[in-house]
Amino acid sequence: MSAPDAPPAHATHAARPLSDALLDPSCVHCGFCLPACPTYSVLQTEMDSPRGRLQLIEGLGTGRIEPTPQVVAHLDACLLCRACETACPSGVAFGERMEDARAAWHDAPRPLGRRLVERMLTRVVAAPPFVQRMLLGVGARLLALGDGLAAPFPLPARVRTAFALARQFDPRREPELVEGFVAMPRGRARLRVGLLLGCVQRHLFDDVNAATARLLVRAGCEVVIVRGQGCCGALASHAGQRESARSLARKLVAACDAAGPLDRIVSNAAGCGAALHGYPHLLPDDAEAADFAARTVDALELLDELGLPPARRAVPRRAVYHDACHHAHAQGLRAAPRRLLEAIPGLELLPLPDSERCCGSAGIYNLLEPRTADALLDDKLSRLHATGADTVLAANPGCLLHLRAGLLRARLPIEALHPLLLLDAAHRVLLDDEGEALLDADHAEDASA
Amino acid sequence: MTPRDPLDRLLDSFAARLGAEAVVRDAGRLHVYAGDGSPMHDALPRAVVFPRDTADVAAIVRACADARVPFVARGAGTGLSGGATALDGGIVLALNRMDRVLAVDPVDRTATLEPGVRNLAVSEAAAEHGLFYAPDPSSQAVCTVGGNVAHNSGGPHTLKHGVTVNHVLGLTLVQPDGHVVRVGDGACGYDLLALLTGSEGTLGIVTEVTVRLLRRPETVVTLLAAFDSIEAASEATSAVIAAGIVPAALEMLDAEVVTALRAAFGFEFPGGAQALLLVECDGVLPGMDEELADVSTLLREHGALSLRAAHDDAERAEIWTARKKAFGALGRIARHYYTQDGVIPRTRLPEMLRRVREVAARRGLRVANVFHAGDGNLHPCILFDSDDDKTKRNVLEAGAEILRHCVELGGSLTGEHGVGVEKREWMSTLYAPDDLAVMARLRDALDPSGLCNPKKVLPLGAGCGELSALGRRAAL
Amino acid sequence: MSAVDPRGTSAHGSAPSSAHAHAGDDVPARDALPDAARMRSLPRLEPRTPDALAGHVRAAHADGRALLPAGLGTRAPRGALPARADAWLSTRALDGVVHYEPGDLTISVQAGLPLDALDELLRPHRQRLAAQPFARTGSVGGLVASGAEGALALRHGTVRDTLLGARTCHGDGVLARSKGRVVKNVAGYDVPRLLVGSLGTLGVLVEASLRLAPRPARSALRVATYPDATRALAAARAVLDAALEPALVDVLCAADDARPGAPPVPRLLVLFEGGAARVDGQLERLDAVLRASRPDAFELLRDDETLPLLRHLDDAPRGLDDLARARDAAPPEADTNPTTAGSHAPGVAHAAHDVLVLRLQRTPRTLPEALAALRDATAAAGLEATWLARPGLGSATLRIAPRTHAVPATNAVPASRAARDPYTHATFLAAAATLLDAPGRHSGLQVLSAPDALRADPLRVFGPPPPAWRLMGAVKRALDPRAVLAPGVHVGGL
Repeated sequence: MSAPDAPPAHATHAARPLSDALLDPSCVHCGFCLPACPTYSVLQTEMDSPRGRLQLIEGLGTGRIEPTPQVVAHLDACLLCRACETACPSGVAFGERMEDARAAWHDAPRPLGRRLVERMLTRVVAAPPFVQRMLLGVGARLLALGDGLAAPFPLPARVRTAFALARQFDPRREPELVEGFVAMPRGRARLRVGLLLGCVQRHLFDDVNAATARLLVRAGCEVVIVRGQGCCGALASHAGQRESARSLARKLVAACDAAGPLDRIVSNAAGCGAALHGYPHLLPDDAEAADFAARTVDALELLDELGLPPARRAVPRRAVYHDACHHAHAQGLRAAPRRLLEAIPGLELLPLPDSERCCGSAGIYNLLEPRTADALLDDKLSRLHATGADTVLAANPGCLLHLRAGLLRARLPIEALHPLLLLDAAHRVLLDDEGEALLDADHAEDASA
Repeated sequence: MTPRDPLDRLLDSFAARLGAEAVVRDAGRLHVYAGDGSPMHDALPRAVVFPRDTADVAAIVRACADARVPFVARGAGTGLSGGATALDGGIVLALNRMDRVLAVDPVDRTATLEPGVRNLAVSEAAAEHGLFYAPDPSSQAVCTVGGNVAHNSGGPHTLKHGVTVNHVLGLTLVQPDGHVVRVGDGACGYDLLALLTGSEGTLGIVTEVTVRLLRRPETVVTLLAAFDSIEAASEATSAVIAAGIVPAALEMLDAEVVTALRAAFGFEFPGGAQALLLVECDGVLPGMDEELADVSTLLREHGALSLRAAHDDAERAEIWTARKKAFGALGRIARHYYTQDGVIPRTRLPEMLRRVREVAARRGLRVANVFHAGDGNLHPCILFDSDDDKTKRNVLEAGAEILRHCVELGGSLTGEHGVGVEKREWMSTLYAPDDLAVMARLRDALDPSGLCNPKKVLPLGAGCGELSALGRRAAL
Repeated sequence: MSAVDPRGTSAHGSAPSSAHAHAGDDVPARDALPDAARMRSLPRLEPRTPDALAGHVRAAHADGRALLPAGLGTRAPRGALPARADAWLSTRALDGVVHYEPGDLTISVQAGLPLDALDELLRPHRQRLAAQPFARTGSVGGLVASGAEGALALRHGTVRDTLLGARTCHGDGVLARSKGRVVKNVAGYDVPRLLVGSLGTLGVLVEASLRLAPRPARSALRVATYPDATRALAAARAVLDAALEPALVDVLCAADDARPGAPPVPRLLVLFEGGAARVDGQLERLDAVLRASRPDAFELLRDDETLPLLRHLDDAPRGLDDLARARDAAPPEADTNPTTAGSHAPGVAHAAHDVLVLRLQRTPRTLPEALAALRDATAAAGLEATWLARPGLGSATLRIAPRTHAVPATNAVPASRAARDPYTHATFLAAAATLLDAPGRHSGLQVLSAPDALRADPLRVFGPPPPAWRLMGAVKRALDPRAVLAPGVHVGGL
């Protein structure tokens, strides 16, 4: 609608068949998204604002503009944080439109490095978990080796951070949860839920998955670790690799289907949760996918809904809650996590200004657009620092990794944790055991209480 | 473009000064700078440049003047009259990166700002001193003070606190020849501040603004009254004003708007109501209860079906968010909207609203009304879904017709959105040729080259009606 | 517009204005400054219609004559002496009401309408012109041309904030409108506001649309007396910082007309307006603030009692003059000055005498210091200042006259000022010139009225031209290309 009567002569570039949504002009150009957009605040050009990107998409869609590297770069510079959707009074489904656009122009000219990284990472997330684990192990060892060799040399902070993060990953440690595992609560289960482990989460934050299972059980759920679940497809979808995203999604839906009747499908990573909710858009006309999406719920939301018994112990920390974009903006999940955390004795929850502003992680964005990502991270870190908190809570593995890297680099004495870990610390029985033993102990403690 | 193209050389020189990243010159990306908040106007600029300070702006303007290339300043691009569109293949100076709050003086109660500072950021910067910046256009979270100065922006609270021109104390102007001059600051001589404020960027580019800050009122109470007709709400508005009460804001929303707000924010509307009147009273605590009682009595006497007071900040914020995002929310009930900004003497409100309805009915269009009732400043939003030229023509003609009624009733074409491209040719319905000639002389005096935001505000040529002169795009 | 005052042209009677239309044929050499006597004898044009007015201007434009726009002639002459002058052009006969709809809180009137007549019209509707609601001297056009700051400027702004639209005759005789009678209007350039304070040099206001304000039900004026100006100004600051919404916060250092002959003392004046609860509730808060400032005396005036004092504050140059006269205890009838006898405004008489009225425009932060420095300089020049400061606006008006009271005068009523004046006219002019020509002349200082001898040079009246003077020149040339209207009267000889 920006150029209602532009000369048709312009519409010469290869117009592409696009969904209606892509051309849906309900953006009225009010501009409310501009101050909400993290990349606009950093890059300060209209092309890097949601309104501008919609215009680019519309221009590309109508063939009025060409998918030049310059133009496509602005689509790629979007975090897909969807903060603009929160700000938008018209309710433009920006995330969907951006994903559609990236899918439609995924073959547009892009820098070689970017293509390689994207292709590699999307291959990796689609690979079987054992392959991922192997690759991660090799990677971590290489990095650790590099760290040792490079120790005497001055290295960019970014590289040092990567080394430091790699040291945190222990490839020899066995995961606490394995696919096919079923955990039963004491007494009759209130719900039968499937727990998704996530492709990044299961390797790097396996403790979060275990904590999630324990908490769900404590809330009265039968927890099924769905066999053959794989990746939700979020990263592929963000990268415009729609077909690979679709096949991952279909695989996941089928895997959950095979796990027997599940009341809910629980995710504990904000990015995954948002992607699951987006299945009806990704797989239009797929009734199963729509039904699946309707049963999808974030662990924090479900725990808040079901309620937990009183905490077993205090967790004395001064924490701030950073809203993962795909919680706050994509799922409207803001109050539930805070309610759960506020119920933890000893935990002081401090306000974090601009807590809904993206930290710059955004999947693999921090690898592809490091300058913007770092600018956002610096902003986030200075806000974190100003609160005087000792812990920052974020319910997304991407955010956690990115924040940890930043905190390491800035040498800030702040720990970045998934909120479920703190919640679990308040609720679990103090037995540093493997899954089964823990669940037994859970019964034991409850019985003794 | 060949490298010999003088424009290319000009842009090269800008890139050398500002960095290549700060000069956008490829057609694809320029596409997003073709329009502003107006759905009806756009024009592809030849380039967009991002100056960082006054010296950058002066250098760019001087170079443009030397090369005889037109130029236009742009803030956040929220304007609703096509004022920031680069006609004649001009260069856009995007000032959004000049966004520093240079000073806040709590004793003098002033703030000195670069033009790219967002309106709301001024109040945020002043908040620690208990001060705020009064003009609050609905787009205040987005729009910039530079744009506010250009349009003499208003907002809901201008009823009591005045519009931008009442709050600008000084400014730095880059004249269309590149000279930099400071205006205002209490200096004697002609009131150039008044001339420049609202001149829509046609007399120069403002690169620094000093504004007055007001003290935050001790109490604020927002009343929401529902009426069974928009006429009844209008009568109530008149009654409040006639009683000698000057509320901080007096806003009206009709049923269509509330439908959109309900979709966007879950904003609830008392059953059976066809219009909402939002009355805000602010000031010191003493006497506030009496004022509220008076207002409530008047509203009830004039048919208020229900009355709700928002006393706490959260509830008030909710109401105002809904009000301020009302335009945007119209996207929920229509694919497009086209808003007008006519002003009429307040007592003619019921008559005017009736005429608006007639125009819409005759043309088979839906109209949503959300406006500053206290000021008599209407924003009839014509809703439409189709992109075809016929629909658009119908919509535009309806808008023009509504404005003709405004002028007929003793009002004006625009209260706060500006003339821009949109209402340029309609100026001759409001003004006689001599009136426009005087304005044209002022323009020529300050911008003899005519390169500074050309073809805005004043009709092209004395003849007017030359809708075709700019080509079809701008006219539509 | 009464920017330049036609005082003394007493014989204009009601002769049709056209009689004078071509009276300026025998113009003297244009480069010669008109002296006061010649100014008084200039023909006076009093057109009865806007078109007739435009006709006069067009003719002058064609003939290269200069006109001095004027209103009722109640304000002291403002600005520098005109560079040329061939006739007065008064809007006195254009005094109609064009449109008044009380419910709109706006009115459109002709420029010559006297402010008191306007107030008569508004009073039954409980409305007023907040730009100058109390003094009500002069005409609408004069108020606009002078841009005067009224008593309620802190709360309601000046006429700049009240003027909605105008019909103006510019220097080539073109009658043009800009803006209109609605309270919000951004259609086209703001020509009306450009006229505010233009001293008639950009156009002759023919018709003005004004925003009105409701008349408050109640008002209360708290008067607190302090031993020195510093404490009074500090108390004013405290009031401005308190949770109050005063309509006026002034510090007046002038004689008290209730106590003739007493020496000037600084008084802080705070006005509240509105409903009874609002006024009284704020008074309570105010008194808590003021008690901490330990005033010498404390007084409260309510409703109509406030008017005599507010009248002085509303039109400060004149108010200070009246107060000075009250101090001299000379009854108005004693004014025998030939230049003012029969004038509509006896108060102006003093302005024509050895009196200098200055306006100081600073910011709230810098005003106290600038005011103190100016008062010191005044004393050093052997002169004496009575003054009115608006700490919230950063402005002050000073009336500077020869020091007449070496000792507090409590007794005699002098027969004439000259008789007891230790200064001669010449020594006054010299002293005043020293004050105005000082190398460190205070910025923001402007002469509002002065003897003609001090008004010849715009540099002395306005100080050095402001940074945007070149732009102002462009505006002047655009609206008055042949400098027909009050040439040379404004800053830098505009």
